[in-house]
This record gives sequence, structure tokens and C-alpha cells, in this order.
Amino acid sequence: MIEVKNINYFIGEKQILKNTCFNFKKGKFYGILGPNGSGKTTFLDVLSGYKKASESEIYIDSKELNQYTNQELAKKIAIVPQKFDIVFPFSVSDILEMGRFPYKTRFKGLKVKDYKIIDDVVEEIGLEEFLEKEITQLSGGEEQRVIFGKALIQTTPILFLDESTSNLDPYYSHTLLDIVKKRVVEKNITVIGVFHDFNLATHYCDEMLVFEDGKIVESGFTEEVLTSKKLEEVFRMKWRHYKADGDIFVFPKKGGENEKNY
Amino acid sequence: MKKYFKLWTITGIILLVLSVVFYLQMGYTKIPFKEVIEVLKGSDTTSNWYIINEVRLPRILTSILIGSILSMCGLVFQGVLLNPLADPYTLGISSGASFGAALGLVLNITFLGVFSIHIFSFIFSILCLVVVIKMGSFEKKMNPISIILGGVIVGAFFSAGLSFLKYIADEGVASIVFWLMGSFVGKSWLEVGILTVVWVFGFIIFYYYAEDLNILALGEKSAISLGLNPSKIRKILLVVSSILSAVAVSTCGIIGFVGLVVPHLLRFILGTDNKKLIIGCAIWGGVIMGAADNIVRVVLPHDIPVGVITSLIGAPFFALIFRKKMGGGNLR
Repeated sequence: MIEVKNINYFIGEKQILKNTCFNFKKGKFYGILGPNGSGKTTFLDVLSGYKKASESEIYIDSKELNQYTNQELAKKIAIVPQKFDIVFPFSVSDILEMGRFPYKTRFKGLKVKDYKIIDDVVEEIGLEEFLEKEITQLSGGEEQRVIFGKALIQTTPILFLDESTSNLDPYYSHTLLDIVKKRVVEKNITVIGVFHDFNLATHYCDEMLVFEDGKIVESGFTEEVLTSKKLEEVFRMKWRHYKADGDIFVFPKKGGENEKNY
Repeated sequence: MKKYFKLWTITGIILLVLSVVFYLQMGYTKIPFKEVIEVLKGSDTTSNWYIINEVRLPRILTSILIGSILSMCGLVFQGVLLNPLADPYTLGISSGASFGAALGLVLNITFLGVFSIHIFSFIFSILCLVVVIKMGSFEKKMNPISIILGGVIVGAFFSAGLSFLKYIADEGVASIVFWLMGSFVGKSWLEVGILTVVWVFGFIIFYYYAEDLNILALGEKSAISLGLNPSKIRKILLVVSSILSAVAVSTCGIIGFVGLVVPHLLRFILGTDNKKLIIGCAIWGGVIMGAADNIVRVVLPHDIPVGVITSLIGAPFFALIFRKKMGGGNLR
């Protein structure tokens, strides 16, 4: 699905991504963990074509990333950012319709099929009551659900979640990620999500990648990564692990034991 | 209210046509409706042919075209720069134009014909634009904030230059000041022709990219992920709307507030969709500016520069509406 053979990304003199490479398979939910500033978001930005790396070799469906036009790429990858700033008071239904923009011909309206897709997502996420409201009047959490909806309406085989649920309460985080997970299972889409909440990530991810200093230092099945020594090193913390209902949970060990051991 | 786009458009067009006929009758010499219609039909037998065809009609059409151009440009600047406070002069184009005109007047430039001053003013506003775009672009990407900052810096520079020119102009100050205050007095068919050409050019480009302007409002990252090339679209729209504003300023001087207010008024009425707004601005900008200029021409005892009136009436009016809207907790 996505083959990252090499990325080198610099901001000025500073190298943000160093020879990063990974192979993402179709129909899997990937979680990216890593401390602040380890290059997680930049990694997604490069994969989505938002940032151009000075050196990169990335294949999406066996086609080099740079060979894609913006519009072609928009039909492959949708992004849910952590937050977005919109200046003008567009209505929620306007915003949702923008999700169909990559499929639209200029000067032509949306097709019946497009409206069907929009209606389905609106029902799935429960956005009916907001449709006529202005996006600028919504609360942060409500706005985030709309943005989620817009990305799902884009109906791409690849979805990037960039800390997309950090503004949401547990109920909505889980509801939305459930919807995403359903698409992974049923429609075989590939999801790559950056998470700070390990336990939320564990609940949904099939595999995990750990970033440190612009490199992927650990990867594998969720359970292996979570219990790995590497994770403790990278985050400079010790973890307790619990297992319940088939899921693994991690919590930091109480003060004192952290930091000084590393 | 937002559903009545067609109604507002048709009303606007009818109002525009009716108002032209109405304004033509008004003025120092009252001309009967029948005579106006005769002249508009092409008859040149009446004694008032000259007043209608060579004095009033070009002035009225110029005011409508300028209103339309400034409103469209204001809308585009606000959309491209993601800033509700932007207007056609944000990039310092007015300062460049003023400086150019003043320089032409001080140096008494005439070698470019009757329109020497206008041409000089246009050249300087385009110069302004080039500098601002150069300042605001890094690695082929345009950043709205640095563009606005560039506009402020270049604007400040040329304003200072203008002050200097006024200082050394001595007795010529009056002509500079008068030139700078926007006015439609003495506009001819030549101006109407030039403005029509740029209007058509601008409207086509703006309408073509109106939908992209909607997507741009989501921010750079989201716009790219929806398949847009924001840098390219920003550049095209900024250049085109700047050229339009530059033509407007260099033909009629600085007419404040229209470019800021009209897009906002229409947003209250038509919603946020730029496809509707660009048509709305094109029509209602013309209606409003036509009305403003004819109040100046007909109602007021002196032919005060219309730029003064638009700001004098526009500012409090806008403040009122904005307060009301803010009361709803919707400042953004």
C-alpha cells in the first residue's frame, strides 16, 4: 500500500527525518508513538504530500509519490488534523460537501451518489443536528467530529489521523475510532494514526511504530511494542503493564523510578 | 435568508438598470424620463444628448464598475489572505498608486499624454505588488501573514514617500490631495472602456476560482489534502485582484471602505459560499457605489469626492452591523 523506502527531511540545518523507511500494508490500523518533536507529524506531512522532503522515495500503490497530482493524491489519502482554524463561518453541510471536492468537476454540482455518501457519514457520526449551523459556532469537540466526517466523506483507501482525537471526550474518541476501525475491517482501508494516549492506541491499532529523533526505532504488533524495552527507553519512563479483556494497558510507574534510570 | 440567492441577484440587476435610468434624469439639469430613454435608444436629436451621453452616463457607469471591482477584489483578498480585515488596499497598492500619482504631479510629467499621472500611478502600484509578493514568498510558497506584513511595510514606505512629496510640492499640494481623494468627476468613455475590459477579465478569473477559494478557507494543509494547489491559486488570485485594484485606484483615486464592507454585508445575506458571493459583490458593489456617487452628485450642494462619503457613511454603518452580528457570538 505505502512503501516508504527513504525520507530525509530537513528544516534548515536540522534533520527532522533520517533515512526513515517502512512498509505499510493494506487493511491495517497503524499507530505511531513517539515523544514530542520526534518527527511523527512531519512523517505524515511528507507522506500526504504537504511537505516536500529534500530526498524521498515513497510509493503509494506502487506509484512514486511525486508522480501523483494533488487531486489524484486527494483520492488516495484523507487527513484528520488535530485541529483546524477556519476564519469564515461556513455551514457544516458546506464543509462536509468539501469532502467530495476531489471527485468534483468544476462548475458542476455534486451527484446523487456524492450526497448518498455524505448522508451516510452524517448518520454514522450523528451530525444531523449541526448541518445548518455555522462551523465557527461549534465547540472544539463538535468541530472535530465535523472534520472527521469530512475526511470519511473523502472515501479514500488511506486515512491519516494526526492526534485527531485529542480534543474529544472518551465517548466520542471511541465512537469515531470505532467507525474508522469498521472501515479497516470491512472496506480494507489503511489507517495511520499518531497517538499520545497509549491505551486508546492499543485498543485500535494492529501494529505500532515508535519514533525517536526522526527514526523508526521499533515496530511490530501492538502488544510486542507496548511491552518492549525500547518504548521505555524512548519515553524515558518505566511502565506497568496490565492485561484485561484481551487488551494490554500501560501506566507509568510511580515517581522516582522514572528518569534517573535512563 | 441565505436561500434567496437568485432573488437577490435578480433584484440587484433590475435595481442596477433602473437606477442608471433614474440617475440620468437627476442633476443640475433635470431631464425628463422620455428624453433619457430616447438618448439611450441612440437618438442624438435632443439638446440634452451631450449631458446624458458624454457627462452623466460615463460617470455613472464608471462608479458602478469601480464599486463592482473593489467589492470583488475585497472578497478575493479576504479569502486568499484568510483575513476578514483585508481589503483591496491591503497589499499597499493604494500607497504605491498615491505615491506614483504624486510623483507624476510633482515632476509635472506629461510625456505619456493626458493619462500620464494615471499611468505613473498604475506603474507604482504594480511595483508595490511585485515587492510585496517577493517579500511574502518563501521557497515558492506564499504565506498570508508575511504577505500582509509585506503590504504594511511597503505601504508605510510609500506613505512616507508621499508625505515627503507633499512637503516639497509646496503649492502643488492641493492638486495631489485632490487627486488622491477618489472621485468620478469628469470620467469619460475611455475609462468606462478600460474598466469594462478589466472587469470582464477579473470576473471570469474570480468566478473560475471561486470554489477553490472556499477550499482555501480550510487552511493550507486541508486544502492540499483535498487536492488543491494553494500556492498557485493564491498567486493567480492575488496578482489578478491586485491588477484590478491598481487599475481602479489609478483611474479614480482611493475610495475607501467599499472593498471591505460590501463582501461582509453580502456574507450576512448570502452566506459564505464564494461562488455566490463573487456574483453578489459584482452586482451589489455596483449598486452601492452607484448610489453613493449619485448622492454626492445630486443631493449634496458640492461635488464632494465620493471616497470621503463612502468612508464617512460606510464606517459607522458597518460598525453598527458588526456589533449586531457580534452580539450573536460570531466574531470570526
